[in-house]
Amino acid sequence: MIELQNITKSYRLTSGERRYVFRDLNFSFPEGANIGLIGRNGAGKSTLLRLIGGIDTPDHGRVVTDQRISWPVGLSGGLQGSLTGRDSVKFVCRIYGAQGDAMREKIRFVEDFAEIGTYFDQPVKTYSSGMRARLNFGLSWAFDFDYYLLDEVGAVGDARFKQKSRQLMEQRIGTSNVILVSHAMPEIARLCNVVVLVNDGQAVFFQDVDEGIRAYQELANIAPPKRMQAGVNGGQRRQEQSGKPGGAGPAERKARALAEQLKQDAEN
Amino acid sequence: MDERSALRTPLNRSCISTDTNVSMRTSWQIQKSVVFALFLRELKTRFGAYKFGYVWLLLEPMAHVIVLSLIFASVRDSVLFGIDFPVFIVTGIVPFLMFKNIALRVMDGVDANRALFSYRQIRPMDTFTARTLLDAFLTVAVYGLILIGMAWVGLDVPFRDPFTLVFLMATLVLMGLGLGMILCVFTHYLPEAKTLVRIAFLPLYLLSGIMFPVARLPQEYLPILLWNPLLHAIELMRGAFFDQYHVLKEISPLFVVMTTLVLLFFGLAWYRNKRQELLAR
Repeated sequence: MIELQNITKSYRLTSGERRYVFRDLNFSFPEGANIGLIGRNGAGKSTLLRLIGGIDTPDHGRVVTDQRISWPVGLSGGLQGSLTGRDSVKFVCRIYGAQGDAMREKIRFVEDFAEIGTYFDQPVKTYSSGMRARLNFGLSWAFDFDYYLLDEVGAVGDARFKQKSRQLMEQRIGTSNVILVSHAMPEIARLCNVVVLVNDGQAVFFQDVDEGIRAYQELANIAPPKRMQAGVNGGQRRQEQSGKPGGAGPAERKARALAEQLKQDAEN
Repeated sequence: MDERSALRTPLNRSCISTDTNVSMRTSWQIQKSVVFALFLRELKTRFGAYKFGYVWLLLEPMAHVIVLSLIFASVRDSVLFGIDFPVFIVTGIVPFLMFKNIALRVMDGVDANRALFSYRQIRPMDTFTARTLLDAFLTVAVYGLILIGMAWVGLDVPFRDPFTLVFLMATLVLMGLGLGMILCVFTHYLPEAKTLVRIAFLPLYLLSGIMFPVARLPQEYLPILLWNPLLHAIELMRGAFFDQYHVLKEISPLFVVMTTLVLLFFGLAWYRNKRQELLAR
């Protein structure tokens, strides 16, 4: 059970005024649901994810849960340059109370998953960004949680690693749940049971995923068939960027950004 | 303890966990393992990067001692109340450097570990505790090694009253923590002040009686100098260390303890009040 009670969250801007991301947000997620968080950029999806995960604290209200919730999967900031990969894993094991055999098991898991060979015992600052990501993902999946927090996690690394990550994630979804922030609607549709559409300080809960996605597409002013078609050909945002056929080309992206701009101007 | 009990317990009021089917770690257990993990991480981070990292730890206070000894050997009578000058300097510089290191490290504790707060078990207070403990332990080790070394080369190391010395060191540790926490919250709102704080430790070095016994200072400045609690603490330590050291009657242990309690109280209160803003991005 995850329940949000009267959540208000604001940030102070540099100008001194406060921007409210949420005001008096209330809802409770059904038991064992995979939750998709969707909305436009800057709507507050990641903030909501962090609030649910207990990483950020609301101004008022509280999140009540009896679930074990992960840190954001693939979190990149937790590595210290001068520490080795092995030391980094040990650190996380210690804070999660995994000692002795449990720690050795986690270390083995991460070492196997990351496949970075002898670099595992080298300082993290010598890693390439792909190697860092491999270590971070291995670390996240090494621990058992009821809920994994996935914040726009496109698959990283080469094709083989992508394949492996995807397999592991889908296997985990069999036993655990995810809270997923994504702009890739096919992914949301495939993995989630419920969605929350975040917009303008409001969060609307949809029991029906398709309905939620339609509401989002109306909001973002994206024609549904086109979007869906892009999904069939891969769906991932990263693949769009690589300019594969079927993904959004630069021109289309530009046009979409312009449309967004016009819409916002009209609102003001 | 296995990792199934990974939740932060009700310490954090926004997240009440009422897990019943897995074995829960208590707040105390979590706190302990987090502080221990951070302690090891800080230790490795600080010295792992350099080949001679551990040597530098000894070199810093020794460099002060050697330079000051050389300067003063020619200028003044090298014996004060029959005390060897290098030992005199060590008893002042080591506690001072410890205080300074703790205060500055705690001040940077939140910024330096910001990414780690995504692990929900880790709170800013844990980084303060880990950093304070690390510097306290390192200082004790360095202090011991230097004193043994000095006794070995034939200097007089009386170490008269260990109990009072330990008490005063512990008080300085807490004073450094209190000041560090206040500075941490303060510089969160005014990051520019960090440089200023670092610079401010330079005059403090000169005003804390590290190079002179207070009895030898010009008496007309004494009322002003006596506002510095570090001066009191260092004088008291010297009184506890040397047999024949003359501590002025104006030097007050009560002032040291009260300052520590006040700093610690305001540090903890301000942190408690603003801890969520410290984490906000």
